[in-house]
Amino acid sequence: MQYSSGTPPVQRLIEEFSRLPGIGPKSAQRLTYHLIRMPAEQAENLASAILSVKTRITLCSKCFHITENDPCTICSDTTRDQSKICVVEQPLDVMALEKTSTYDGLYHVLHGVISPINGIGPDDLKVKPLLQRLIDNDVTEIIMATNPNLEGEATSMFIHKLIEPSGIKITKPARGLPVGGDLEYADEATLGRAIEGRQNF
Amino acid sequence: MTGNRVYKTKAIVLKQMPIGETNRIITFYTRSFGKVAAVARGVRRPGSKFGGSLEILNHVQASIARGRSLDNVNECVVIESYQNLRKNLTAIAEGIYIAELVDTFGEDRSPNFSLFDMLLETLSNLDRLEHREFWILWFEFRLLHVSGFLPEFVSCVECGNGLDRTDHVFDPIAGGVLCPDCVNNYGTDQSWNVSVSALTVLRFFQRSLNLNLRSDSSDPYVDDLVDVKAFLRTYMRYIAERDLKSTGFLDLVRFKES
Ligand SMILES: [Zn+2]
Ligand SMILES: [Zn+2]
Repeated sequence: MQYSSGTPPVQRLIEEFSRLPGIGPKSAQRLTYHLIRMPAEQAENLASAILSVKTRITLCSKCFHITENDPCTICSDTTRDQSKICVVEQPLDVMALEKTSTYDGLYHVLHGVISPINGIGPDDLKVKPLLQRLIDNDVTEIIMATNPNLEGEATSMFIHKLIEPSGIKITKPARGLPVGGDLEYADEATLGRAIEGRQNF
Repeated sequence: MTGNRVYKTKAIVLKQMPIGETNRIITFYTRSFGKVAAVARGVRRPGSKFGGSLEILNHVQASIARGRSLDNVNECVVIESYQNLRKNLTAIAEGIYIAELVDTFGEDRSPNFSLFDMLLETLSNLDRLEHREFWILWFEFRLLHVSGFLPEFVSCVECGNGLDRTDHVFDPIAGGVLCPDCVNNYGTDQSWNVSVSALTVLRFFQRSLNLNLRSDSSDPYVDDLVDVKAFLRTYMRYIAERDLKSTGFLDLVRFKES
C-alpha cells in the first residue's frame, strides 16, 4: 500500500499495526496511542530495532533458522551433535526446544507445514534442502517435531516417506505433547520430557 | 437458525486457520446449518479444553455461540476421528480433497442434509482404506447431483436419442453428452471427448443415485477408473472455475504410493 503525503500519520500507524498478525483495529489503535505517549528515545529504540531486524537478520543457509550470522550459532557450535537433525515447522519452535536445554543436536526449519486445502505443498517448504543436507552430511537420526495435528502429521509422514529408503533412523517426540496444541506453547518441562523420550516414527 | 445465542449441531471439521496468539478459525460443515466458521479460543495451547477435538476431518458434536462478527466454539466432543485414515498419508490427502470440495460447494448457513450425510459416509469409506478412489468418484458424482450440476450421460442431451456404446462428445454448456448429429449443431468450443469406459461408470452412478452403494458395489469398476477420474476432475474444475487447491498434493502422494 502506498500512502500519499496527505495521509495523517496517526491513521497511517494504526493501519500499519492492523496489518500485523493477531492485531485487530482496536489493538492497533491502542498501540498507536501508547506510542504517542511514549518518550521519543524509547520510540527511536523501537524503530531502530525493527529496522535492524529487517537489515541484519537472515535465514541460516544450513538449517533456515533466523540468524544474524550465517551459519547460525547452533549450526556453528562444534560441541553439538552433528549427527542429529530435529525438523520443526518454524523458528519459534527452535527457540522453544532450545529453552529446554535437553537437546544437543541440530535443527531444520521447514517454514510452514503442508496444508493442501490452502494450496501449500512440499515445494513451498524447505524440504528439498533437508534432503540435500542428508546427502552432504553424516546424519544418523532425524527427529520429526512438527505439531501434533493433521497437517503437522501429514508433513512428517511425507518427509518420512522421502527419507525412509536412506535407512536413517527417524524418531518423533514422545507423547506427552497433547494433541491439537502447538509446540511453541508447550511448557518447558513437557517439551523437555517429550524430546528426551522420543520414539521411532 | 433459531433465536438462541448458542446452537448445537453435528459437524465435520473442514479446515483451520491460525488467528491471534492461540486461536484458530475453524470451518465446519454442520448438519443443521451448512457451512459455519467459528473461532476456537486457546485451541493452540497444549492442554486447551478442546484437546484434539477440532482436528481436521473429525466428526464432532459442537456447541457454538453466535458472536457479533464471528461465532465462537464453546464446546466440542469427538464422535468419530477416523484413525485408520489418519495413519495413511494418501487417505489423509483424499480426505482433505473431499473437505475442500465441501468447502467449495457447500453453502454458508444453509443446511444440506444429503451433502452432510454423504460426507460422513465417504469419510467412513475412506477410513476402511479399501477402494478409496471409487468412493471419492462416487462422492464427486453425488456432489454434482445435490448441488444441481449433474449433466446427462444416458441419452443425447439435445435430441434425447439413445447413444451407442462408444466414445462421445461431452459439452458442459449443453449440459451433457451429445449424439454425433447434435455435435455439429449444438457443440461448443468448451466440449471434450469422454470415453466409453468413463461413460460406463458415470451411467452406473446415474442408475445408482437412489441406492446406497455398499462396499461390494465398487468391485466390477475398481480396475477401470482412470478415464472417469480424469472426466470428473476436468468437470469439477469447469464448475469451480479453478483448480481445487488440494489436488496437487493428492496427485503427488498417489504418484509416490504407486
Ligand atoms: Zn543454522
Ligand atoms: Zn442428439
